[in-house]
Amino acid sequence: MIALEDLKTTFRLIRRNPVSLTGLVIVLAFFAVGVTAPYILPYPEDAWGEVYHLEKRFLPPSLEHPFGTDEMGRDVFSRVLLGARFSLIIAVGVVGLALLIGIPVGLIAGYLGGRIGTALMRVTDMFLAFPPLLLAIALAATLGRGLTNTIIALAISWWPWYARLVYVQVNSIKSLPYVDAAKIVGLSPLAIMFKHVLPNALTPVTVQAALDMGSAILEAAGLSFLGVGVKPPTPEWGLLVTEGWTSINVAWWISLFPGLAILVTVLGFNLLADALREASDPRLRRILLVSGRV
Amino acid sequence: MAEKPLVVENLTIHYYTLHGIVKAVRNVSFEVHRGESLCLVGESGSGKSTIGLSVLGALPSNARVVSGRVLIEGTNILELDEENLESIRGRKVSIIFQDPAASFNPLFTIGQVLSDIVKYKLGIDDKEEAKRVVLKALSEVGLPDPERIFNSYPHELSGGMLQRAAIAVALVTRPSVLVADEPTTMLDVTLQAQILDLLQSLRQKLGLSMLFITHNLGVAAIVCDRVAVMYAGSIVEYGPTDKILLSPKHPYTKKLIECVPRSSIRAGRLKYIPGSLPDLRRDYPGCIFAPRCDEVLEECTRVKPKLVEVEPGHAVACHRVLRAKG
Amino acid sequence: MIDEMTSILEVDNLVKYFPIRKGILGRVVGYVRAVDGVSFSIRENETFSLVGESGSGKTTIARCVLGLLKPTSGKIFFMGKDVTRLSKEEAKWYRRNVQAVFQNPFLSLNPRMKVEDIVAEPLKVHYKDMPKEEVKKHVYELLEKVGLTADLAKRSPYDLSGGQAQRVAIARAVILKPKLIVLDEPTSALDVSVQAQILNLLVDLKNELKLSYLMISHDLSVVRYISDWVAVMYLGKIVELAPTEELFEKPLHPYTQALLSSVPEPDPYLMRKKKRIVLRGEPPSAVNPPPGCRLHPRCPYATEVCGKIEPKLVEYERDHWVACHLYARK
Repeated sequence: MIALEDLKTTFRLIRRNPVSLTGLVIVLAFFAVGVTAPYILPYPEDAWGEVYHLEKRFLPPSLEHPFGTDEMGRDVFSRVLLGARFSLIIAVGVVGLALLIGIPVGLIAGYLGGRIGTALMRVTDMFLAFPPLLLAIALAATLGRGLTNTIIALAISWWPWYARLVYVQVNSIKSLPYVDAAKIVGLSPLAIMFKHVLPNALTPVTVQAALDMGSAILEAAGLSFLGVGVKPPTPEWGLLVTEGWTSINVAWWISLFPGLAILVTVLGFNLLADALREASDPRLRRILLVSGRV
Repeated sequence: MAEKPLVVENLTIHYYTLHGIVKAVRNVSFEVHRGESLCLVGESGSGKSTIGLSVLGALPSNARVVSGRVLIEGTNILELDEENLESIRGRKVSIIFQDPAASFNPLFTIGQVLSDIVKYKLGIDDKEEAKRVVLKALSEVGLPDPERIFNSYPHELSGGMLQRAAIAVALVTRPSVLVADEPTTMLDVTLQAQILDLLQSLRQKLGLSMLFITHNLGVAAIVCDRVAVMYAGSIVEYGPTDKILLSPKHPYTKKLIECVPRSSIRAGRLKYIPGSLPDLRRDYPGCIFAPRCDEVLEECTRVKPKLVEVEPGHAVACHRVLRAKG
Repeated sequence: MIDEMTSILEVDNLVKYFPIRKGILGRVVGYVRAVDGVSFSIRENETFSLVGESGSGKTTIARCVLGLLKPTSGKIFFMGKDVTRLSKEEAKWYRRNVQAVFQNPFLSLNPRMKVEDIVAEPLKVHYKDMPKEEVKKHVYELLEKVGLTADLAKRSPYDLSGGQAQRVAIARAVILKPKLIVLDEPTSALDVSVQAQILNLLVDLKNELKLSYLMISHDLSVVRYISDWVAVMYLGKIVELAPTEELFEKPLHPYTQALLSSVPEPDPYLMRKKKRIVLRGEPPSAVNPPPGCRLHPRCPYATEVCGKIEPKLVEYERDHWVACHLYARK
């Protein structure tokens, strides 16, 4: 919900800063690979994990297998490529679901206030009182392994942060004169909420969401690593790291490449989120543009 | 000691912003004599507050001093490093702002703030002695019960009292120059009157030179000996307050005075200045007010008018005025 | 108090207390008496100004009239109807007829909307069936009328100057052709040269559209220029009410006199000549207003009775009302 003008300026700022630009490129590449992965795999069957090549076990990186092969003889490069798709599904799914719960809760609590608002925020606070990763592990363990369950577990442990963020924003925006003006014009509370309050409350949420996409990938990998996440043989990055863990002494490449993929992607999201935050802060924006020029 | 504690010479300041380089102050010169108060009057965008900050050597990070000097008691404050700046700022020159609450740290009492200043700026280490100085400063600005104020936090004081405390902070070191940037704009009229009275009496008592920055011509009429009218970064006219307000010469000054509604008479219809402030990123070959002026001459758009004295102490930058004078 | 037959808005003994809550249970430990028994009425096509310093309660009255706050007690009648008890249909009618312009034009315009959408919004709410072309026609006509060029219509509020933004806010307020507009310090955030233009525009619109204004201001010069009637407020009460010229030429209440004598004017002779009436100290809090006359601790003319008995607002001369013991025995 960032206005077009803002997007242009944001892009200008990102272009000027090589670090931010790196972030943007990584994230765009991640999305591109995530979307196209199934169609560009060198060894599709290896990637989906349905085969067993006894003769190709533990081959080190080579031209044929750039990232080597694993203990079942599968091409690690293909598996990492396809892993991007699952990581993308997790990132979008977790953040999307968390936003879907968090934004309405924060909006309603902030705009209506009163008893409903207090009740909603107390529930939010209860969730916030748990360490989010522990909550996610407990939920994932209860729900059982699987992609959908991982997404649900992470989203449930995350939405309260969005609810809180939106609540704070809405609370400050709802007392601004343009909201009063909308009331005086005769707009219904619902229309005021969606037309005047929400769009203006979402800027910091966008930044947080970008940051959280990286964290979602990281935490999903964490859950897989702990054995409560995605089910094998799904080539999710965390799971790939775990699979290679037992044979790290004989074949370092099995864990290393998915690990690197996680590192680079999360870094990309962090850099991009930083750039977005800088662009949305008018004071920082001014200083950045100045230092870029002088 | 110099008879002109504050001298500003050919000052030009630019801001580097998202939308380009804003030429906020354009070759401004003035001086303030000992014990005198000079008013910089202008609308927003006239550059008056930028000048105020430059006098403190406290310009924001995106400002560049392109040329000029600001002399406080003969020292050019724009050339000093941070350490030497600290020995002048707060000791020889102080500032008070529009919002006094913003200049106090909410975690410290008024007494703590003042005691620190007394300790570091005046070098008074003895606690008893420091407190005595602070209490004197507080009662000097007309705060009732200084002992109570000493132990109060900023949020416990009303706006008027807080502005008095800010004045005490500014003046406890006995500076020779005080910059007052719209110090009464946020106050109600009855409190404004009190603060203006206080500034007047302190100026006389301490022989203070005051650079008073305001958009309110009425306030200027009360506190200032001389007025400099600013428009779009330049001084267009300066002179004794009575002369400027009662027989203004520059078309902008005339118009500005005519726009103000009065509480003493009912105006028929208010005059106004057509058009809007020029783009401050551009350079203008002629008079910067020419596009909005209804008395333009041919040379106004070509040649920049210089500030020329029409009477002793009263200078105007306007081709028409100068031509009439001959 | 003003002829009721032609009055468009009538405020009758309006009281608004804000509870002060403490602790986790939100126990009420006191009240801020923001507005404490205020009555006045506004006639058709006239400007009624409420003047006072911060904390006098003038903005609270405006917010009650606009339906943004619920009065603690008292009534507000608009064209004879009690506005605190409107049916859904009547509420729409009230919204169509009562609009507002606020102090800071940038805060009163949604930064994410375009100028034309901001001005069109009231039409879209109240005339849902109006064709798009007609809405657009109305908007552009109005933009021209308030002195804005058509090329500004596609801009965002933050691309405008303060004066332009306030014109947009005014256009939004008049597009429904309301009867009453509440002006809450409409020019105090603007430069003087712009202020003059906005004040002129407000006067023109009032004459052309037969508007009534409820003006809230602390600036007496602006009030004198624009008002037909003025009420001076101090700590939640009206202390003096009179036609504008009468009030400025013959102020009766010591508070009004002090206010008038403190207004700085760009006329050094006048400022030297002016007899200044200085009030001691600062206004007390509205949580525990002083007993008797609320001004008495600061008033230079206070006598013993002032600290004991609260003076009533009485008609001292025709149409000139004052609440002060100095004028009690007449």
